[in-house]
Amino acid sequence: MQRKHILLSVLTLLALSLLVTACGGGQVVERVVTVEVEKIVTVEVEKEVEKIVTVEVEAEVEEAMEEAAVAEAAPTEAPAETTQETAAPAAQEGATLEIVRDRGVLRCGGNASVPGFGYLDPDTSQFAGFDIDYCKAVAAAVLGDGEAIEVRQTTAQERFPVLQSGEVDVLIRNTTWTISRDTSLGFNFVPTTFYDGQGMMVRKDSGVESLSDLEGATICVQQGTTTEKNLADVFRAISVGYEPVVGEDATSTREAYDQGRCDAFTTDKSGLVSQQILLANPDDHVILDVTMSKEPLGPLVRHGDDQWFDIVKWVTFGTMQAEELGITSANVEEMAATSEDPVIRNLLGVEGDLGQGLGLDNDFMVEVIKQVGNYGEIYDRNLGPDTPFNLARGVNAQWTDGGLIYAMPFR
Amino acid sequence: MATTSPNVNQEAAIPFWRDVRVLGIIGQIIVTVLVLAGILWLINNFRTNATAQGLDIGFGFLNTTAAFDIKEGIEYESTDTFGRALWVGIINTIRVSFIGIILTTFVALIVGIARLSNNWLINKVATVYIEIVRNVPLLVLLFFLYFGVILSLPSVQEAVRPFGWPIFLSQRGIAMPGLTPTAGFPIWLAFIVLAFILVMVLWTIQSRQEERTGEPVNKTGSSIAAFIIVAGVGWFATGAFTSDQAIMVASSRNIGDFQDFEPIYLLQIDDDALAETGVTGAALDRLTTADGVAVYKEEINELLQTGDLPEAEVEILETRLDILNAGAITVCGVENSVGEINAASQLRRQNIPVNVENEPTMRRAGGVYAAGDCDILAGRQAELAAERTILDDPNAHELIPINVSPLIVNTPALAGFNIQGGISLTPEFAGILIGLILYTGAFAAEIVRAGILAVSKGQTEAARALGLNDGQRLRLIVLPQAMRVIIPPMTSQYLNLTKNSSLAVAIAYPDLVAVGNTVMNQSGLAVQVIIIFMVSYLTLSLSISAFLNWYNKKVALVER
Repeated sequence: MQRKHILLSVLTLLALSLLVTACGGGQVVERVVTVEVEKIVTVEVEKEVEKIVTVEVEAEVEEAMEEAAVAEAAPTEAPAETTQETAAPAAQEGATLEIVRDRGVLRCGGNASVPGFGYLDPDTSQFAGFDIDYCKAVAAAVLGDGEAIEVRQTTAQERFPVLQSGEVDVLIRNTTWTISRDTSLGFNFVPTTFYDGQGMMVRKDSGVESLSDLEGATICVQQGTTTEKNLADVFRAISVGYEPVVGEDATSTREAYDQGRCDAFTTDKSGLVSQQILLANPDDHVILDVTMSKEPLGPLVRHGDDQWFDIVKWVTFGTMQAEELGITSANVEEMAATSEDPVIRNLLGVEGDLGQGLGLDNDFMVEVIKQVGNYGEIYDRNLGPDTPFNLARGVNAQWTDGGLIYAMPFR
Repeated sequence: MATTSPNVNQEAAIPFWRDVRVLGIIGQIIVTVLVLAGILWLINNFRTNATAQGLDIGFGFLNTTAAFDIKEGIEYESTDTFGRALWVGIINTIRVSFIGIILTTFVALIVGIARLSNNWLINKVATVYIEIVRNVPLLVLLFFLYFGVILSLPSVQEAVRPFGWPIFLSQRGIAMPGLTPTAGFPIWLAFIVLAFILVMVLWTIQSRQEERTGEPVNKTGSSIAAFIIVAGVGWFATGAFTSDQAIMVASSRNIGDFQDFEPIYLLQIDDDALAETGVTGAALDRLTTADGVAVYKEEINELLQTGDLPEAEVEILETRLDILNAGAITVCGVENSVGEINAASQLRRQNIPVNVENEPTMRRAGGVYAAGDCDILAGRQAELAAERTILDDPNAHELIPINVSPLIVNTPALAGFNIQGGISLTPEFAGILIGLILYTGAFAAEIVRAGILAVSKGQTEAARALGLNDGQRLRLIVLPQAMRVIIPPMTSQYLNLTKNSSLAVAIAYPDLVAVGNTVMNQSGLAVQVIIIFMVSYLTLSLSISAFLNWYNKKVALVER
């Protein structure tokens, strides 16, 4: 009868839902276990886990957990131990290197509207800039081809989610290194490639000479940047009232300032210099001699892949070291072949096997310098005397010249 | 004996896997389970990956300090939390949507009926407007309105003042005088209520008198007179007895009230420096009153604006302006407080230039006054008395009580970079509002036209036969019947308007999405902020459609 049918159907469905929950629940259990092992094994192991038989992984994970309990005080021992597991892939190798190699192209998050740093040239439809060159450097190191890059232009809203979600491998988009971004946003910052500060641009005929003169003024700033935050903090500290006009991207912010909606425009000083060129009358504007904050700019990668972090970090250091040693794109091959200096030989991979620790070929720096150049060449090509910016090296000079560019030793 | 009914046997014969009802239920439960499992998997995926990267899961970030400023909206400071910032964004969205919906309805009615007009010009204008605006993407329309139209208005320094009124129209918006309620305002409201009651009583009495005597009595006249008398008495009484405002000035200046500032202002103008720039005896004589100085400054400004003067002369004129402005009276007070607004207005009314030093709190304003940087400290009597006690030499300063009426006029004036005071409509708000109204109005007008055309022609002819004119026909016969057809698609248009307001981020209006973008960047928690977006827009949309569905039911024609 009716009741019998309903009873039977409900029982069937109960069985079905139990089945589904059991499958889903099982995965949950596996994931939770993997997360606990996070301290030693990277999260990429999860993806590897799905390729391998469930039983094997559970056994390995249990072993790794025991090792984690033992080796918590000495995390450096753990990588060596886990790499001895032949069944699982070397746990210290992150998946990012594998993914990039499989894909054959490096995806960088970049800018398209900041001339000199990340700019999509409307005439040639090519991306060019200081940050783009660093993207090419990483591609040259990892894939051997500096042109094997895909630049994904990002707005201020999407730049962080795009890196967090894995849509890009590295974000090189004149992003400031701050504690909150390093920790609570889940990123790792490689060494700073450009030390900058926040500045303020005003019209020459406004007679403004210091920040206090801007009492009650309207100031254009881009949304979601550290500049917006600094503006509020600095002006609160000096008790000057102002009105912010928060534009969505660099272009509309600059346009609003140019049309007179704002009395002043604030962003990193390098940004001000590059935006000034795009104004209607660049000579009518002046950048105040005021530095509102420190803005160390550089590439960043996400948490959870130490090997990828090391790769990007040491490629950056490599370009700086190359400039210090006088290695340029013109003479790198010759230096590799003929130099007797052990420091140069180590850098270019002629001696030692420094590349292996990163999972790259030993001579990865040769490709980088040959295809992109050293730090000085990258700087001069994008921001140097032959460009409209003509930015002096200033604090971005080598440490031997009194600047802050200091490469860690390659040995 | 009971016989088993044939129905029972027939039912028992259908196996459950072919019983349509059972299959229906099974199907629904399977789909529900699948959807729930899918959602759970998504949530779990996010939680696992977010934890792996060390990101915060949950909404605790709403209590973190925001550390950024929002230009317009309800009260907010950069030291407030992210939660408060998002709330400001939601209120801004509601403000734009609410006003937008009301004005769109007007535009839709007017343009929709216009397109049905027999007048060729009106008809064509409406058609062209609809066809063009419907085919332009909203973002393009917003950019055009903001960058092309509004920002092309004259700059603030050259703001247009129609008829010389204190209304400033410029690329930074429209600033006009506003009314600010003071401490006595609630009491005056009580007087107004009293006046209303009196008017009603008077009306009733006079109506009865009319009926009794048969002679018409001027009810309207006497009601208005009674109302004005009571409200007027209330105005002055409140002003005199409940005012708690005062100003603090240096005793040595012998100030009794605001009129006494004129000589001080004139004294602060350096006549010798003016003489050096070439201002001679006759011209100097004109500068003995504040009005005279104001006229003189206007003349200089007009000369400068012509723009074709030699450099040297421009310099001289500008130096003169600086000297004249150096005598400005500085008023310290809490930002947007009654005391500050009143002091500034009173001085400006006498053509004395005023420098307003805004501080967030009375303590800070008192500090600026103690440092000697302002001539007047304005605020409530009790506050000023407290500030006076912590001055170095309290006796060197005196408190002068000020009478303020229940509502004071807040006059805008150009001061430094922007216009201070008054109420203003920012160009961003104007841009997004006008853009949304133009765009949604075009679609809504077509809906109105469709609704009107849906009413059968017989109704129109019958209305004409009865002798109703066009206006009456529309109002009494056609529109009530058209409402049934108009309201459901109109609800969609209202929802579109509300959601399209999120494009405000492109023209720097701080609505929910614009503020949320900043919060996303500063906190790094994109998923949580997007969830807040979704919940907010969903709530708004559901409220609007619930209200309109109720209204639809209410005005629907009851059919048998």
